[in-house]
Amino acid sequence: MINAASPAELTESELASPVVTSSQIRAERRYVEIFNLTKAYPNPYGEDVKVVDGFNLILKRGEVVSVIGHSGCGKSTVLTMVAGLNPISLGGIVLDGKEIDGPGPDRAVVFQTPCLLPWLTALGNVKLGVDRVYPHISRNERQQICEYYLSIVGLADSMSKYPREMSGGMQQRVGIARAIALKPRMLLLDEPFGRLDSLTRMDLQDVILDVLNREQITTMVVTHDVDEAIYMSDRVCMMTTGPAARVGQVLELPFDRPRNRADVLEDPEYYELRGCLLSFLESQDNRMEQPEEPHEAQPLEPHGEQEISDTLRDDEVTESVIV
Amino acid sequence: MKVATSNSSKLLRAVEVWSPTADGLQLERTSSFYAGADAFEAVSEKTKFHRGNGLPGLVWEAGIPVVFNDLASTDFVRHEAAREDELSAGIGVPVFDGPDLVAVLLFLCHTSEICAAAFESWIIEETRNELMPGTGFYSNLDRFRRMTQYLRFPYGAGLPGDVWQTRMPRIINRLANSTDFLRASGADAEGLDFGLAVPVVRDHDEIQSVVLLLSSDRSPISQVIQIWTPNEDRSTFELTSCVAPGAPSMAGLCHKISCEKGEGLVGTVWQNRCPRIRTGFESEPQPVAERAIHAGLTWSAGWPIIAHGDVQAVCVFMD
Repeated sequence: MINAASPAELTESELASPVVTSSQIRAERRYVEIFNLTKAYPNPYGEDVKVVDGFNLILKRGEVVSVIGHSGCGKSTVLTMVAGLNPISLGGIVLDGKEIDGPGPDRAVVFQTPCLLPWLTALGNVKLGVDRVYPHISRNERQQICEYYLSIVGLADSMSKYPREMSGGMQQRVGIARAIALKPRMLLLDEPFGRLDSLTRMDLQDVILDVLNREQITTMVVTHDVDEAIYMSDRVCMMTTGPAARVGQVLELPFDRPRNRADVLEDPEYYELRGCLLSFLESQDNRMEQPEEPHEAQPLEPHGEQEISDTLRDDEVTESVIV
Repeated sequence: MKVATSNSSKLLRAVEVWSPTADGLQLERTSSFYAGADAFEAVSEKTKFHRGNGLPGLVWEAGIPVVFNDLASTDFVRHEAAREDELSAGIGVPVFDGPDLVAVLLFLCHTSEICAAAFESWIIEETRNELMPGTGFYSNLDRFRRMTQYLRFPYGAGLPGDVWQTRMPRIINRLANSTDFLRASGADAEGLDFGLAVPVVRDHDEIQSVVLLLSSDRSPISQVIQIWTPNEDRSTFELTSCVAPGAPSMAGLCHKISCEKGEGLVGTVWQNRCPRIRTGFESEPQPVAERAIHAGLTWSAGWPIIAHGDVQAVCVFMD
């Protein structure tokens, strides 16, 4: 037995059981609770700079939620706080009933760059974490886990390859296999396809969706790409522009899973939803250009036409702190 | 300058207050105003509603705002008169004082091709801790309506989430330019200019829903919308927020006028803790009365927001 309480097993057994209690249902529906999450950095010239201020979001078990917003708004800050890699200034995060107070194997992160250890093969890179998380099972079982997850990301024939022998897309597949092989309760994806070409990006989106459908892992995806957000998620959380960024609004997507790219693209609602996301981002763009507004909005000059690209910014995702 | 609005472009045609009868078994009309809705007025005079009966009764039963999109349908008890007077849609909002319903406030409107307006009820979904759209009415706002059905607002997010957090009503003028109205682009594209958001408070501090009334300057919900709040020692109520597309001089009164308990419409609503509708402005404090009469306004309605045992704000509509 590798993990007595893998999410997929629990969900299936609980759904089949006639004695699922209301508290269990509530726990499933509030699997991840992010309450009043705030990140403040010290400022030697005045009050602390709040990068994120009062971020509230609840995720159901097995749900995929994308977080979208302008560069520097605090998306990755939220993700790293959920990962336990970045201390929380105020508020809290509860995962499956337990408050997060640091990194742990219940959360796995896939970053934009997989950062594989160059002296280990693909298998060796995946095995590193598996050996740590499952010390109680046999070496053979650990090997099987690694091989299984490398095969489901399409690397069955490349397990012995070193990072230098693999393309960027293949390396990212290893990164994904490395994360899901730990059977995390929550998967955190921080711009996982940001450095890949369009075809590889689409390919890997399908790989991840396939894995998520199979494993039912609760997932948070940070992305700049509205099409990616719509295609991959059940909900899109739109963040306001920082500083003091928070959830602006949440878009509930009407598409069933498993997803078929052609079906989603042909859905009559697709372009409306896409337009809704772009409109929100455009309004946040305008907000960045406007001075602080009084409580009662005054008549303002109309804005000129602005072109919005689907992938809003190409620059990197870490937050800038002004001190 | 007065914005010219002919009767045909007027959105609100009837405003009614329905309060429980002495025996508490029915709702009876206690205050009202009708703008060219004579047949509807005549029927309403003779009507009372049981819990669950008609729009006021449904609001009473549900305890949350309810929107009717088609007043000519048989679900609406007064549908024949509504059809005759061309009333097309309406919203009913419960007003609670603690756990007790003190009134159901009804806004009934006539829509035309030039009316851009929305009545929205946002309901708190407890497991998600966010507001989701309840019933809604949208006039000439097709895309805005379609997108709204997919939106959710967590605590503190957007105009509905902000009102949920602050537990106070809020007016936003120039929706298209507002950083706090997150559907600004939609408002801009479809011609919405201003909005009022009001929390529905029950059992002293419990909020179950938020009402949004959005409209354009061309066809405003009413020519003047104000929010009055108590001063620090609660000795007076002060005008703190106002939008007045049809009477710009009224907007300049913010933070300059106040009223005492029992004085004018706001003072009366504060004293009685119940919505009230009045025709004429003779009993209003100056310069409200003078400016309202000068702007050609004829009626006003006061809507109290009661929480923690006190009136926390009064929203006023003048047209």
